Order: sequence, then C-alpha cells, then structure tokens
Amino acid sequence: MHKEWKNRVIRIVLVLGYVFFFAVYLFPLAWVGLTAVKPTELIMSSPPVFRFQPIFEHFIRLQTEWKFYGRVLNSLIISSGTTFISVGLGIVTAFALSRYNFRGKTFIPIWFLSNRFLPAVAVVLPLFLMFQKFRLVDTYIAVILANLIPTLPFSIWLLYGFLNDIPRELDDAARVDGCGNLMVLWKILLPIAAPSIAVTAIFAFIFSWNEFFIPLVLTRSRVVPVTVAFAGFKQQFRFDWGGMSAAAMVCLVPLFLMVTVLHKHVVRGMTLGAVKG
Amino acid sequence: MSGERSKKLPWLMLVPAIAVLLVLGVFPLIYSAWLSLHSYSLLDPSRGINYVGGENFLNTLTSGHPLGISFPKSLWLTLIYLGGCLAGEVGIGLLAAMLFSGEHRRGLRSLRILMMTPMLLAPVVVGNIWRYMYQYSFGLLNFLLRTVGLPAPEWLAKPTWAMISLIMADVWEWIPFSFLVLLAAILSIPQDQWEAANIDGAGAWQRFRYIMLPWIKHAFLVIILIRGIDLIRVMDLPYVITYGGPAVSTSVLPFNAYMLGFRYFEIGHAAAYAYLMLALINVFVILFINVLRRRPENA
Repeated sequence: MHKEWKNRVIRIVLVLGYVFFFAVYLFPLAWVGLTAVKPTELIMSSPPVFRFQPIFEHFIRLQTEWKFYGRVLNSLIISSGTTFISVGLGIVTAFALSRYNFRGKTFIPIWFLSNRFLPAVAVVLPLFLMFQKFRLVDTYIAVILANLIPTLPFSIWLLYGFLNDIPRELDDAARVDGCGNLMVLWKILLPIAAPSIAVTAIFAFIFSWNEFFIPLVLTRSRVVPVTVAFAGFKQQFRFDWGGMSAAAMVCLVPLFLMVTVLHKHVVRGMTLGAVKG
Repeated sequence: MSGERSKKLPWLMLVPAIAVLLVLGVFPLIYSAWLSLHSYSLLDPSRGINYVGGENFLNTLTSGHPLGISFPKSLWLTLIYLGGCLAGEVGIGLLAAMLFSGEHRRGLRSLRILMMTPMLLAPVVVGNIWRYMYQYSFGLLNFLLRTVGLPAPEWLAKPTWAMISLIMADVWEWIPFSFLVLLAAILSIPQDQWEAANIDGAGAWQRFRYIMLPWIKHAFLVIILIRGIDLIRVMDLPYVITYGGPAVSTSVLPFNAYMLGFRYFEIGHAAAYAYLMLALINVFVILFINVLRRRPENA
C-alpha cells in the first residue's frame, strides 16, 4: 500500500517535470505568437505587456507593407518544383540502386549522399556566375534547380533506404506472374512505398522551403522566397517586430500540420537513415 | 533478365540524377577550384580574370583582407561555436530523452509533435525569434533576468555575449534533433537488459554506464557528425542574429565565405575560402559515411 502511494507521487512529480520542460522550451514560440497579435505601440514597452486587446493588423500589414504573401507564393512555387523533381527522379534512381546489380553499387549511393553535404558557398558562387550568363538570376527555374543540390541527394538516399526495406520476395512473386521490371516498380513497389514517398516529399518540401543561402544569392526581387524576406525585416531603419512575428506564425501553422503527418519518421529522415526511429 | 539489356537498364535510370548533380554540384566545384587560383572582382570586371596561383589561399590564411579576420582566427571562432552548440544540444537532448524514456510518455504525444517544430522551422525564422528575445530593453530574456534580480546583459552588443546568443539559439533549434534520436536509441534497448541489470543489483550510474551508453553510442556519433557538418556549412543563424558582429566576433567560416563572395565580390578569394572549408567538412563527411556503413543491426 505504502509503495503504491510512493509511486503515485513519483509519477506526479515526473509529469510536472515534463510540463515544466515543455513550457520553458516552447515559451519563445508562445511569446512570438503573442507579439503577432499585439498592438504596435505595446511591442517595445518595457516591462513587456501580457494583457491587451488582440489585433490582426500585423497580418494585413504583412501584405500592404512587405508583400509577404507574394513571397509565400514564391516559396510555394519553388518548393513544389524542387519537391516534384527530387521525388520523381529520386524514385527512379532509388529503384535502380536498390533492385539492380551494376558496377559501383556501393560507391554510387554514397556519392549521391555526399552531395547533400556540399557547402553552399562552394557551389552557389559558380552557379551564380553560370545563371548570370544565361540570364537566369532571379527566376524560379534557377532557384528550383539550385535547391536540388541538397534535396535531390536527400530524397534519393531516403527512398533508397525505404525501398531496401521492402522484401525482394514480393518482386519475385510478381515476376513469376509475368511482370517486367518496370511493372514491378509500378504495380508492387510504388503502392507499398506510397507512405514513404509522401514522407520523403514532405521532407524535401520543408528543406527547400527553409533554404536561405541559395535564394539569397540567386534572387533579386521577383522570385524572393519567404526565408529571404525574413532577413529583410531588419534591413529597414526600424525593425518591424510585429510584422516579423506575424510572418513567423504564417510559417509555423502549416509546418505544425505537416509535422503531425511526419512525426513517426522524423528521426529516420533527419539522420538520413542512420538511426531508425 | 537477359544479359545486355539488364546491364544497361539500371544505368539508364541512374543517368538523369547523376547528370543533374554533375551539372549542379560537380561542375561548379571544378569551376570553383579554377576560380580559387585567379583574381576576379565583380566590382571591377574590367581588370578581368588573372591567374594568381596560390595567392588567394595565402592571403586568406594570413591577413584575411578585406574581412578583417584571417581564416585560422575564424576557424577558432567556428570551433568555439561548434563545441558550444554540440555540448548544449547533446547534453540537454540526453537529459530530456532520459526523462521521457520512462513509462509516463503516453498522452504527451501532441506536446512532442509541437516540440519537433523548432528544428523544422526555417533557421532564418528561428534566428529572428531569438533576435527578438535578445533585445536589450524590451527583450523577454532581459525582462526575466531583471525580474529575478540578475543583471541584464547586452546580448548582441558584446563579443562574448554575442557568441553565447548564437549558441543558445542554435541549441534551442536543435534540441529536438538530439532528443528524438537519443530517445529512439534508448527505447530500442531490449527490456531484458534492464531486468538483468536489476537482478544483478546494478546502481543508476552502472546502468547508465554499462547498458545505456553502449546502446546509444552510435546515435551520439550520428548526431555529432550530422550537426557538425551543418554547423560548419550553414550561416543562417549568424547572418540573421549577429551578422558576424560585433566587429568580427561571430564571423564564422560560412559567413565569411558569403561576405567575400557577395558583399566584397572577391570571387577568387571566396572560392579559395570555400575550398578550405570543403577540406574541413570532408573530414566529417568521410567519418559519417563510415558510421553509416558500420550501422549496427539495432539502430
């Protein structure tokens, strides 16, 4: 009886510990969320104000003053393009890597992966000069292509791991039924791997969305994405904290929805398959 | 599968991706290598592109003009940044993972999902959030410090505090990563290992040292290498939070490379800088690839 009571106390203390940990950890996000609906004249007050009539002016100013929703559209176009190419090419490449024997079968997957770690400066500088020559600076196509440098190797590598997890016996069974190799991919592997492909696509989308250095260099004004716009909130004479906070919320909400889909695969994705979650 | 055709088919499928990465990755690297041996200023293109041999490398390693900080000094700053970030991420991540590996983790799933968001949020957004937190007069951090009666530092105006600010923001962003990876590793430890330890009467430290540590060693390595590579490569947080300052106190390597190429337009110089960084990163990448190959069954 006494022991059960003691366990209960330990449990309550632990749960309180968790809640405290989360509260402290997530406080910056809550604070920025609060600022997003705070009247401008209260934002810079010291000590900070916690009770006020919430306003939604900042979300409107984001468009009127910063053209922010246009930047969101740019980011959507760029990330969709990069994701589409990464996953499309990724599936075909991963299938070949996983299901065929060829010379360099151990080296080539690793060569693909190593591209993921190229420092952007070493690559984007010459790319900038190349794109300038073809008058492609500040176009969607340039940013979509350059964003492939990190996302394509990532997608290939992750899909390669996912396809390797599907037992080869399934391929063989389908072959006995008279399927060709590409039919095996189309009829057997793709349906089984559909959830993994969705996970890869979401990761590729997020990585492309978060890319900062590449679009910072390759865009001027027309196709500027959200991340570069964020750096711009501070280049003005006065920093627009309200606008910045509202913009952060615009980025946070859809991300949160994506994470609810993704959360079981986050570990595997972020460690490039080195640790399975 | 008949001989000739089945030999060509995989290559047919590999070639598009290889071609894309050759054009976008390998060719620019070769171009960079060539540029690093030339002097080429976009500010004064009329001077043209002239072969200078190893001069760019020499200048970068010694004076560091026009950055105001030489490569070795910046490397030192980068190592401080790297060490601080890794220590914070792994330390707090491990503590959190050990807390959450108990049986009390049910019902906290939605909180865990919420906790994942910082590492998936764009680093530029994270940087701006923390810049806001660090403001001297109205920032939340200083408000809290003043409330409990501690002195409020000028976070972004003093060299040491600026570096600490960068590290804190990075640690906040990446705690979820080490937390989740270590949690997955801890949860993969078979239950009978703990039971055997209990029967043997092992204390808390012994259980940590002889059961947990060997099982999570691999996860540790993965975290340190992946984060290490990205901390040397990526300049998003320093760019947004301190812009390398005050003076050059947070001018880490990738930030300097950016400044050389796109603020001073010293293309050859920037390429040399990037190549020195590349050599450093490659050490980490090779280690990481070896870790991937030696992946234990349970990970």
